[in-house]
Amino acid sequence: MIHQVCIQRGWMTEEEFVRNWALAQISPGVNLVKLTVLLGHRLRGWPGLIAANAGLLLPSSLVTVLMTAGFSAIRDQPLVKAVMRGILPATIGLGLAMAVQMGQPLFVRAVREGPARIGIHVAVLVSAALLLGAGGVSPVVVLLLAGAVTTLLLAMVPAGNSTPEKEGTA
Amino acid sequence: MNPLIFLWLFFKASLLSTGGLGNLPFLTKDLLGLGWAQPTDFVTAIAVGQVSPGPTGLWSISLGYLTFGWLGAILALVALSIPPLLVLGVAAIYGRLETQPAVQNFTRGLSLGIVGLTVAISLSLASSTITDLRGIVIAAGALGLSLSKRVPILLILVLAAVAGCLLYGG
Repeated sequence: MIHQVCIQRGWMTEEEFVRNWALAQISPGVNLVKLTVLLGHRLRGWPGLIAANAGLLLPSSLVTVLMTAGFSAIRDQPLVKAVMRGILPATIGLGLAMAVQMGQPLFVRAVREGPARIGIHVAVLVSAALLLGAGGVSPVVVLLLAGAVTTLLLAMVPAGNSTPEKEGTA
Repeated sequence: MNPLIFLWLFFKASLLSTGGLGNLPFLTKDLLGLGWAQPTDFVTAIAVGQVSPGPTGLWSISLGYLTFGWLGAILALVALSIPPLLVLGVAAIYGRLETQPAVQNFTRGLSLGIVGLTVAISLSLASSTITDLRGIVIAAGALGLSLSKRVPILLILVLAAVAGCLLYGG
């Protein structure tokens, strides 16, 4: 929706939008908020930033709180309990689906780079899950470790698809 | 509960994650560890975050409300609003670092770590929300529908609610 409005009103080009989107993915915080920060700042400076985020956050936050409050009031009704017993497992399924969707591009790339790198990806992912789930290690430590170990291992194991090219040119 | 610590925990979670449910591992570890929240609070907040308008990342506002009332919701909103400003700084330096292989590999490792953490959290929350085979079926159904990318999340949750009514209501 944001995408449509920005392009249609001629506020920025497609390319500018995609670059802002990518930056929003890698820095801390909620993605949509970051995107709004970048777009608001780009278009109107600090007042634009504040206006855009107020527009994004205030109404939806209020509705979120009201929905939570409404739900808290009715959560002991038997029907509501039954509904929640359906919804709660579904959120678990959705959480796993999100993990699959986030992991998919990483593994698509690893598969192109050969079996050794697939192994590294699987090992890092499983270790991260185990460190938090079974080891109780702090998430910050897990993420920093994952980043450091991956950097190290990927530097030691060259991507599989580049090897044939080297042989060909040698 | 100490409001300042509460704000700090939410702030830290937002600062160290890159969006959506990325702050979940931090908040579960800290809040469950302190006994300030129950596992069901998290699942409920995530469900509300998915259903309510605005970014899914606003789920932590719902969590703030569930654990600490209106003050909690406001603190969670403040904590969510500040870290995204860093995107301006990241935008400024990213252009220079983007092409370094080490930076790219570190980012891949971070992403793998986040996927691993998401899986671990989903499974640990599953143990408190999925109590029987019917729950597993609902979770698996939600996972499959979500991965098909043809069904909106809202509809999946509505279907789960109906399933809950039919399976547990009677």
